[in-house]
Amino acid sequence: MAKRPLESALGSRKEGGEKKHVVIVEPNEEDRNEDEEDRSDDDDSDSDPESASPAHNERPTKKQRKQLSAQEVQIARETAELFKSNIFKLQIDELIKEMKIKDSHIQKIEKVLHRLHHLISQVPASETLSLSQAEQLFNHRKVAIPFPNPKPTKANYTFAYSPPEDVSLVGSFGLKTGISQSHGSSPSIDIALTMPKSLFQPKDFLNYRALYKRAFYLAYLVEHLIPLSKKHHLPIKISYQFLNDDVLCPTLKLESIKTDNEEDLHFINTKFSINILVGFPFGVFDQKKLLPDKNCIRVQRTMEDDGGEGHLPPTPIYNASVLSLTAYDYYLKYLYTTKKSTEEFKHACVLGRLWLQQRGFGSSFTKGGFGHFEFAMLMAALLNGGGLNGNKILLHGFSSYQLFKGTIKYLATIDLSSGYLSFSSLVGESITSKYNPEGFNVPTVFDKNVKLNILWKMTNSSYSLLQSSAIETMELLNDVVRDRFDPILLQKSNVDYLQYDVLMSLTVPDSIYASFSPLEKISFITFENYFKNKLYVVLKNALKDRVTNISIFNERLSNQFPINKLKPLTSSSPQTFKIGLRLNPEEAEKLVTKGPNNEDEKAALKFKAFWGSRASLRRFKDGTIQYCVVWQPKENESIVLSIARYVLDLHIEKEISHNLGHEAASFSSKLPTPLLPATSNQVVTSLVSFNNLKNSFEELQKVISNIPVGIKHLLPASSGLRYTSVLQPVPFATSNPDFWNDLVLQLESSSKWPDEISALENTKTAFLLKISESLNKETAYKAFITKDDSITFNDHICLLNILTPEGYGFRIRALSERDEYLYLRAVANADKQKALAQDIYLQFNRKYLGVVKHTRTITSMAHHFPYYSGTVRLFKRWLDSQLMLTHFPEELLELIAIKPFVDPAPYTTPNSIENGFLQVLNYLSSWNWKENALILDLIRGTPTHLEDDYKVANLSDKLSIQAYRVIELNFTKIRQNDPSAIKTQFFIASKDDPSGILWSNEGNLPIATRLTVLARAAMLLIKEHALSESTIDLIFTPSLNDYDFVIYTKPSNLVVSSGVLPPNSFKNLVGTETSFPEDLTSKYDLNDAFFHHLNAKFGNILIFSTQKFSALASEGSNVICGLFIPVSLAKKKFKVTLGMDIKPLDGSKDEVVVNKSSIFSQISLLGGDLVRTIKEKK
Amino acid sequence: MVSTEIKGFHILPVKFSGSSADHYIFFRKHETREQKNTSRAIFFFNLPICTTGAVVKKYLQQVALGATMELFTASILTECPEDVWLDMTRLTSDLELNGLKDEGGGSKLPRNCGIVTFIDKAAFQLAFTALKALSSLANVTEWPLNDLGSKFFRSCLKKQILDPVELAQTIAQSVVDFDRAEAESIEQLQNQTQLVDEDGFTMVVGTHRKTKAGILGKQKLAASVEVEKAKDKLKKKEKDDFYRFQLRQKKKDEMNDLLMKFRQDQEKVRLMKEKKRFRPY
Repeated sequence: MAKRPLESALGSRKEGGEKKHVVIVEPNEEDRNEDEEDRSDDDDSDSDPESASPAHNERPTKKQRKQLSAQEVQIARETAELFKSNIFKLQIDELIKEMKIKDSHIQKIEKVLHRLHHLISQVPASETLSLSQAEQLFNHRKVAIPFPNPKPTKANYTFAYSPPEDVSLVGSFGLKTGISQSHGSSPSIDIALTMPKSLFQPKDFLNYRALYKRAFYLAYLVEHLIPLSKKHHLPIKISYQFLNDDVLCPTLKLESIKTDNEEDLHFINTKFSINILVGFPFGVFDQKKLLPDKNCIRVQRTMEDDGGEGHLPPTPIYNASVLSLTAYDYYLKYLYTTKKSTEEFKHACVLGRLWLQQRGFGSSFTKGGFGHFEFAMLMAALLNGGGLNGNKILLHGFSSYQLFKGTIKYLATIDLSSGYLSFSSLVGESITSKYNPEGFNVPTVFDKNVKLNILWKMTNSSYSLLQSSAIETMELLNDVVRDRFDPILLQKSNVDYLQYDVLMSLTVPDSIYASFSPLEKISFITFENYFKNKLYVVLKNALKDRVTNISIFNERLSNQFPINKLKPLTSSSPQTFKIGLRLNPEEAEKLVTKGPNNEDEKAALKFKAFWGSRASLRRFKDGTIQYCVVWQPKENESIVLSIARYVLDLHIEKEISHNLGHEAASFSSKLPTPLLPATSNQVVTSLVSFNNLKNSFEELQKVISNIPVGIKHLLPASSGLRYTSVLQPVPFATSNPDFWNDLVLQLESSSKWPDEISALENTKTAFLLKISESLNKETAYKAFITKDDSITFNDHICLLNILTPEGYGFRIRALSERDEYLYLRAVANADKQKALAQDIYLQFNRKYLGVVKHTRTITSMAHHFPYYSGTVRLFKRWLDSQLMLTHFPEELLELIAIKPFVDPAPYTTPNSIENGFLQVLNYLSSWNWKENALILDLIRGTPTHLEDDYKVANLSDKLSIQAYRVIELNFTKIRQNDPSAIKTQFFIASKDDPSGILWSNEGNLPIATRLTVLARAAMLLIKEHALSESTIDLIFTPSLNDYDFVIYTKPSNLVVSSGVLPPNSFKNLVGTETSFPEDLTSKYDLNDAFFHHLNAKFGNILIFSTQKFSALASEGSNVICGLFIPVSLAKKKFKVTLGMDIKPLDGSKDEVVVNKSSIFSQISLLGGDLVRTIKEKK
Repeated sequence: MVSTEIKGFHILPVKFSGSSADHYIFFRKHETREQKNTSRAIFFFNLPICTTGAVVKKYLQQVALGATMELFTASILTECPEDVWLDMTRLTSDLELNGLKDEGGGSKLPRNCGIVTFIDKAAFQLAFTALKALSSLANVTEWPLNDLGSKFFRSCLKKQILDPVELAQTIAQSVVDFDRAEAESIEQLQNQTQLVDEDGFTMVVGTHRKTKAGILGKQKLAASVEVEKAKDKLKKKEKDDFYRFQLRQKKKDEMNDLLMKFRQDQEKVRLMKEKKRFRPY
């Protein structure tokens, strides 16, 4: 909130606007400036042909051209140095242009401000009044005096109004750093009136006295402004508003009213509202007495409160509120001077403001207490120093980007809570700002001159959120490989369910309010501040390292209220607080909370006092005896949540945990529970069942490598072996569609491999036969050979199926060094069918090469991100419930699901399944795959240190700029040939697959579109109806109405044999499978077979969709839905190559049309006893 | 009035048991250039699903008793996801191997088509007349497609499991076939080594690769590797910062590069602006 005298601010606007301070002037830039000046006179004609500057139209002479390019070279050079890159600077320029407030609006507002200034000067002075006189002055129905709570009862001082010492335009409008706002929120203009000094006594800062006087002043002003505004044709609606949600600081909010009278001046079109702030004169109170550690509200103390000491607690919020009221005028001058001395300050402010806004930060208490004013003040302070020795962090000559980045870096790297920054706002003398590492454990930027902590509205919780936002942004700013402009400035990231890993809501029972004692009131002022702090302290102490951030916010109360009320209406329903947690993935799910050693008695006492009866002594493996608390994992409840419930009950109020809601928990209940012993005491991130499978695989690997047939490697290639299968691997669960785990067997190289594809396949089969024989003879493994048709046109492929004694199934495909060579030769020889042959090569690559690499990468990612496995499984489960899973290769989905883990910007890496899932959906709902490629950098983790990491990054296997460019070029090429994405929809590239189409080559457009639509619908549902059990159920319910027909198939009883615990049943009653059936095919899902036959027979004219996991379908009854491809429905000329079931058209010579009824009867014949009913869409 | 003929094809309406919907099969005499008048085959289009020799036989017994069928050739594309057939053997080798699939030209037939060849001209005539009669009267007959359902699916699943003994035999046979074909090819190749061409060169055949395609492929590769090597060598010798013109050129290139990039960026941002990207809300 900076300020400048209103009149001069208005008067000097023009010259300020014209001053041009570009160091390097580009010729057409100048032209544009002239354009702009012209334009500022006429209204809002945005369509000025500004680009049609002469430089573009006429061909410059040779000399001119040379000059021009020399200048351009200079710009190109400088921007690369002063800004991150050219493109970044150009984008910033565009953005700032876009954010500019319309000139026509500014002019309108200026008129309004002039008139308002005139109105204010017309308000007459009042007499000196006593409290009762003051109260009687107003008609209570019309105007109330907005006294802060508690209201004054008797006052031995007087109230009065006399014209303000000073009226100034303050805030961003005055500084010209205002930006246009999003729809719905109205930007406001702040005007500060300074009360005359004569109204105060030196002791008025005590016990709300100055605030009472100010409240009267406000009410008196309103009383007179109403008639005056009518008289002077400025139709306005006036209401009270708490500035920044500070209940000590009511202000007037003026909104325009639309009238028909032509003389009236209304500004409703500008959407601006005007705030009238009333401040105290600078230095009217002794600032030392208002330091944060002083008490300025004296209350009666009871004996209990006393506690032996004679001091009242400090009142930091009150003190800061009073002090900042004296400094409106002062800080405007300070910021204005800074702006004058630093050319790009203004633009950096705009960037900072936008950055904060996108992340939901603002100056008010509810928004974290760090808004654009605080940002600007911090930046100004850093221009005068800020380092440990007072060294300058920012320089006056910096570009807007450098100023912005420097401030973000400061926020990211310097801890303003454990230490603090002190600066002086004294204009004219350069006093260096200095960072002191010893602080007060509250976020502090201290102004030595005003004795005010600029960050007084911040809490430790909001500070840590700000700090982590700054760290994330810093990483993005340091990214040299890709353009990160979007997540830094353009994307909004304040959606709570995407921002936090765990989001809980706590409804407060009435009894809690009793704990809000008068002493608490003077230090915290409001119940919300008090309760949030209390929750924070308790949770922080309980969760310690398990969380990286705890944010507590209350549902926004209105801070605006009519002028005949004392405060906003409070709703009758109990208040709800939301608690957002960001977890530390390494600690969050640990079962033991460790405390102090046995010997440390003092700490032990403290520990026991905090944890109550659950604290116990334990002896650990290394011999230490420590206090600790042990937690029992519960199904569908994370450890963190269990802890939160326990400590809230213990320290806030008994049984308050019943009011603690965590709806997103029902997400994890969507994941099927495996039918395994001891799964109920498994934490959500447990990979035990997967590791059992892995062990079985490693055992097999050993056995097979001992068979002397020339084997190089046996490599895993299945979703179960990379922790991503929907159902957890359960022994003997032969009905699980993922029961068979693919493996790739690399055979040793030899020159004897046949030089022809079918002979090669036969030779490989001979190897498999040999292995099968020796496994069957010499081991407990059972092996048999099956045919494989996964690669079109190559029907000689055989697979070796192996059942292990542990109860798992593996399926081996053999690979020789010659295969790839032959497929590529086929491509080279294919002539006209080249594209087709290429597709075949890709099929081969996927099944034999790509999947091996993919499995390796995903396995290491799943180890590194503990919540990835759960997230991707839930994501697949969701797709399956929407009948979409069978349409995509699982590898493709795994790559999409990993996006928020390796590249979460503008959010953070998800550390819970629900957060991961929502971030995946959020990404899918906004991914415009026609225009953007998904390029993944699949390395373990993101760099945690900032610039020092640059060198390490060079050495690591991160994607290099070159690799990134190549991928981008690939994408451009593909889109050039296929601009409407008919052949390739999703382009997903990584180091494993720079081509970007390996997994998405066989997609189809309607299915890809449907995926986006479904994700959008889900996100919209959550946005409108919040996360609740019913919303989540709805997200997992398919909409069958969208299909042309639905085949309901016979329910299959495959739940147990798929290794899934049937819903509403008990494990001990169900019994698990312990052996393989005689005939494996008897346990296969016939719905799946039906689905495959349908696709083979009618796949060219119909898109079929089904649920892959019949066992998870509701009541075990699956459906297969069909949708006619629109092209196939049109009338056609008869041809024998039509390839679809047709019937002749009556009365037409050679036209035919698809024969739907015959298709339906063939489908029902094919399905036979499997079909219950077929429902056609009417 | 339902037409009975379309573009020279007769239309044969059939229905399936338990269903009222009509299905239409289109047929005509199958003639190839060589056997214009001696043909004894009928070409069918739009055959119902799961049409096998047995099904066709059963149907013919029903409508044209005595027309003995010799062979039923179905299109192998019918259950193929693509519309054309790629012969991978042809594409990967020039050996004279019999494509097992392609007996009777099944790969050239479009989807849902089939050819029925009769044992003799008389049988053909019998069947063709009977079918034509049914067609012109628009007489709906029943197509003997049995209930398939779960039994069928299960048997398909079982069929995927191969008998190891049988498999071993087929594989052994195919290996023998392949070896023979290869031996022939090698012999041919050896003959070529005897030939001296115009320039006085002979072809050299190594011991490893046994087919012509293999050798030629290798030669191509070898040639390009040599060229690359030579280029690399040349490059190593050159100094690119010796003459002043080289330095100047380098600077100029750098500048141009920078400028080009700058312009590209400008263009990119212009495009973004057009797409209204700079609206943060």
